[in-house]
Amino acid sequence: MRRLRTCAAVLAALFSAPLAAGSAAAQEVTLSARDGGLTLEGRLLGFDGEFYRIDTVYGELTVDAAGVLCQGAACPDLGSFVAEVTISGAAAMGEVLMPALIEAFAAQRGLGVTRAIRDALGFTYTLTEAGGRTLARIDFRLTTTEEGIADLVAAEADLAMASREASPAEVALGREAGIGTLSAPSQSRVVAFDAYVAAVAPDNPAAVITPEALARALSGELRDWGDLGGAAGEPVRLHAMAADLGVQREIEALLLAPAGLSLSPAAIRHADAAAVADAVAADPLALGVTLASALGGARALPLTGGCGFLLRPDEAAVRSEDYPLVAPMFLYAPARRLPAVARDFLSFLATPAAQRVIRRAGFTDLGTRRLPLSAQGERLANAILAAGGETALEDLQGMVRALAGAERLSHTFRFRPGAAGLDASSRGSAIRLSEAIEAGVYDGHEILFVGFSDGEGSAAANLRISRIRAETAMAAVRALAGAAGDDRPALRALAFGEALPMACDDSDWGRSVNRRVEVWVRPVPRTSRSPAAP
Amino acid sequence: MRPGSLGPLLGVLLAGVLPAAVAAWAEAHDGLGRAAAALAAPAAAPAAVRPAAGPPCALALGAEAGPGATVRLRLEAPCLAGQPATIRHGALAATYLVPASGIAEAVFPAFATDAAYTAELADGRTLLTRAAVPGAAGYEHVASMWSRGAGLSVHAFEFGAPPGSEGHVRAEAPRSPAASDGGLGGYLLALGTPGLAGGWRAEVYSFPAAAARRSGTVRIGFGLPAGGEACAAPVEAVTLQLGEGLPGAPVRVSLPAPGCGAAARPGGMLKNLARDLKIAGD
Repeated sequence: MRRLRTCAAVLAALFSAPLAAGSAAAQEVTLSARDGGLTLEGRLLGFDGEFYRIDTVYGELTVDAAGVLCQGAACPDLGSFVAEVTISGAAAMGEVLMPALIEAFAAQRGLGVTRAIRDALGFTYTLTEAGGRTLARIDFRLTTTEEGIADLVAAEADLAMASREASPAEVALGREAGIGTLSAPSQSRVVAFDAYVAAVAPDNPAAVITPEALARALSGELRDWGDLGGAAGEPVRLHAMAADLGVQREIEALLLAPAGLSLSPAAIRHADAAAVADAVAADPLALGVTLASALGGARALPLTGGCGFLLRPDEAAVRSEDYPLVAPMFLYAPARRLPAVARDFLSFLATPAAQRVIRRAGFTDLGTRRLPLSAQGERLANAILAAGGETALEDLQGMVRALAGAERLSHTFRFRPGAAGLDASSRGSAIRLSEAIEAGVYDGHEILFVGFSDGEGSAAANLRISRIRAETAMAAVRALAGAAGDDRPALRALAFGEALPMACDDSDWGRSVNRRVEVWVRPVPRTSRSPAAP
Repeated sequence: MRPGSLGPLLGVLLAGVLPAAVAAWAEAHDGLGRAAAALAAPAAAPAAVRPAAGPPCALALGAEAGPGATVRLRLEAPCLAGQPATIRHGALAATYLVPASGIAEAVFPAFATDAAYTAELADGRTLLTRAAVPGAAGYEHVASMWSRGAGLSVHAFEFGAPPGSEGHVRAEAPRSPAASDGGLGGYLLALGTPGLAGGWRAEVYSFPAAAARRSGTVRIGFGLPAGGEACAAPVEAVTLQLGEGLPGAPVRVSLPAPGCGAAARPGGMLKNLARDLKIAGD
């Protein structure tokens, strides 16, 4: 018999497709409200230390354990609950970054840590409280971004590690499977940034490389260092990671596939990004694409284009994604409630302590940096070089006047070609910026959303689209930041179209670097809060 | 205190400043529990001990700062010759056999400028000593400890050094602590007497990060037991890494037996248990 009476207090109803679970009979439980008002029977799908998930004739329900008694062989012992969390996905994120964060999280809470290594692809952390009680077991499966998201969709993982944004197809699969909308800000977060870099030995004479030349060299088409700004007549010796590694596949998808090229079979294969970097560092004729976090003693070549602008994979450029080959490290969560320890861990990721751990692990953290106009000489030089044509001297002077006394924040918003919607990293930037505004970090300042475009099309059209994007970014932040108090920063949108390019407009990647909304802040004197304040 | 800087504090706690807190923490992490529990036990001041037979003997633990931010420890326990004594410094532990002379000596790294060391003796007493090591703050450390089996050995590959080369610092090629004073490389200390049942052994790699005169990366690996009887036994160890931006808390590591025979990978290396050292030199 199954009865359901009105008892909303104990029901946090979350209807979704029932998940597969083994031995149905053994999982049958009865949940009775402590005040006797409600009885639910069904198959126990899970318990997270706080809530039962139970499959009933009414669908899948989530029930607060504090409000009910559980009867049946499958009922968990509330006092000895151990949170089980499975984290699956990109090895580039799971090998160093996530273990460092788990260990720091445990140390901050005074928890003991045991790491049981299963094999090269997996390990389990056990976190124990000071009294010896096991609090959580966190199981890691190191594969690829695709497999991590597939595990999340199949309910075989609680968090997916991804070194790229989930694709529209993956988001659709997740929605069908009832795990929510992976692209929603509540389910995705950027933990840190890494970057793909063209690595050479410190004593290799090459100074810069274009993405096009890099792709042609990786494919084996350019075999002589003379074609790459190095020693003429010397062969390019290629190094790469094993073909089945997710990072290697992403490098090829990013650099080679758009040009219709594939990696040269002559490339010497290595087990991981660090091994590629070490091999390259030891050979002046070597070239390889590896991760910035694993660069070691190798040197990263700045990227350039036909117009000569340089994009270096330094911390500031990676954080603002001005460097085009950035690999954002995402964690994706399902729409269901995670165990308390997993939620605590996710909160920990945004703390300053976690940012220090991220930096120490060799990755670029999410902390906000400020860069004054005076520290941006190279950009201004680029702008002056690119001026003429449709950008007049007055345009540049107007821009410099508008940004005088302001500092650029590392938050940068980027857009797909022709689109006005923010990408996933940009949404994360909007959330972090709005949180800082709410916390009062920018009280007494004005925040400028400064739109720039690529140089394709007419200057007037570019000015228009850059203004629309600046207003879009500003609206996203304003909506997230909630009601503003008297001393809250004034938000303003400015646009300068194609006036301050960061990269050359002669390639897709260059144009995508240029389509952006930068965020600048400037203190506003209390007496003059007019928008024209210098 | 900054959040996340619990590690250094724990180190201080374990060094014996607050014995009760040490005991509570260490009991929960049973691999480290015994000495800390002994520390918190009713005061056992270094004093004369009267063994069952024979003359009384004086117990003493001395410490003297040495080159490369090390500390030379000298344990005098003539009536405990032939017995094990475990020396602890922060979360680091190593067990020594007191020789027939009654005097055991060991060179330890110093994890703090005011470095405390304890010796836990076979009769249950614990001796405490301290040393001032002004240079200790400038060092980063990577350690592995184990009390059964072959454990995990520590390997440092300095500035791109390939395996087996001069810059590959390991137990077989440890360098001397004095060599690190030049700021060009680190050294490794192998601690503990081999073959003591239940005794702790440890390897610690120390690099003079603050005084470095070279920039680059020191990659860290942990070596699996190669061959011998160890192949059939699961590996258990405790890893510890101390340095800027690190939590500094011990992590117990276990992994299945490396395997014997054809399928074995003797001398395999675990690469991602510790963070590489990023050295910014002058």
